[in-house]
Amino acid sequence: MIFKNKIFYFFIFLTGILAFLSAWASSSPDGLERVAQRFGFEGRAQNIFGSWLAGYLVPGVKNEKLAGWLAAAGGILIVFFLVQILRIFLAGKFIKRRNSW
Amino acid sequence: MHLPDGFLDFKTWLFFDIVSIFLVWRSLKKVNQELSERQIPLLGVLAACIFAAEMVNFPVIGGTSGHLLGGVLAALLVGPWPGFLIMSVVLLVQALVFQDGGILVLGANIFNMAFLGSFAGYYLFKWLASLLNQEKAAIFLASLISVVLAAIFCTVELAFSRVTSFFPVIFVMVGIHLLIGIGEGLITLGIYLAVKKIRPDLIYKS
Repeated sequence: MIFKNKIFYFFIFLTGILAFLSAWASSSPDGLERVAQRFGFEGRAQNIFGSWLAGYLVPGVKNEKLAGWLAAAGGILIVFFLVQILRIFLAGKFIKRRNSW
Repeated sequence: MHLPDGFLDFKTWLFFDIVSIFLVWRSLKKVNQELSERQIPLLGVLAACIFAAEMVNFPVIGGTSGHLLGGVLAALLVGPWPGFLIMSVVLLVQALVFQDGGILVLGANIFNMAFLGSFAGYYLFKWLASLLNQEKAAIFLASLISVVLAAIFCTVELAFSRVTSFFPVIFVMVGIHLLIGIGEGLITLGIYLAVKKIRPDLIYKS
């Protein structure tokens, strides 16, 4: 087993399920968007900076579900690895704390 | 509840950007005081899970949807400062990679969803747990209230930016987010209880 603890398998499994279900997520506007539509300020939204996976879809992939799953996988991996970078920083702080005891 | 660029005026987004930069800096200094070495490996998978959960919008009412925010869940499992940090990473990726939330207003989104969720939500949970002597009810209510609190602050920011009036927008925002908060409460409670069953020793203890 790669991970000794069951908890990691729980979160990996849950993350996979959620990413899979995202293909059937409601496409209705969220609360803020609905309020913006109702009170007439929706048009103020700007996309000042472009983004690679706007709308949680990989561009160029014709199958929308597949495009969504690929985007989800990409986002999950990016978030995971960014936190891992933080983890290295935190581990360094722990070593310093341990060594100072 | 991700604010896009253009919804807040310069002074408002700049203020919250400064506040959130300070909070992130503070969290990097404080996080190892709250986190046990054993919990560090949990951060990555928890952050990834919250990111995935935020993609699963569920219908609430009247053609509106909601999704988990995750601040209370993160704080319950790893503590308020680490919870805030991983929530900030999630929001950063959402804004930069997926255009879900603006870049200039990222500070406001971090404050509303990461800070209020992880801090206000967590300490609300502690207070409710001691008041009600019921952990599950406290988790549910704190999660629900954290979503409503974020909605209130969002409305304040919009009103302060003169994008819309505080009244009657606040009533609609609170009403919708009360319903979304029910989903937040149920999902947070479910995941927390699952972790408690599998590895209760990994759960943050203040």
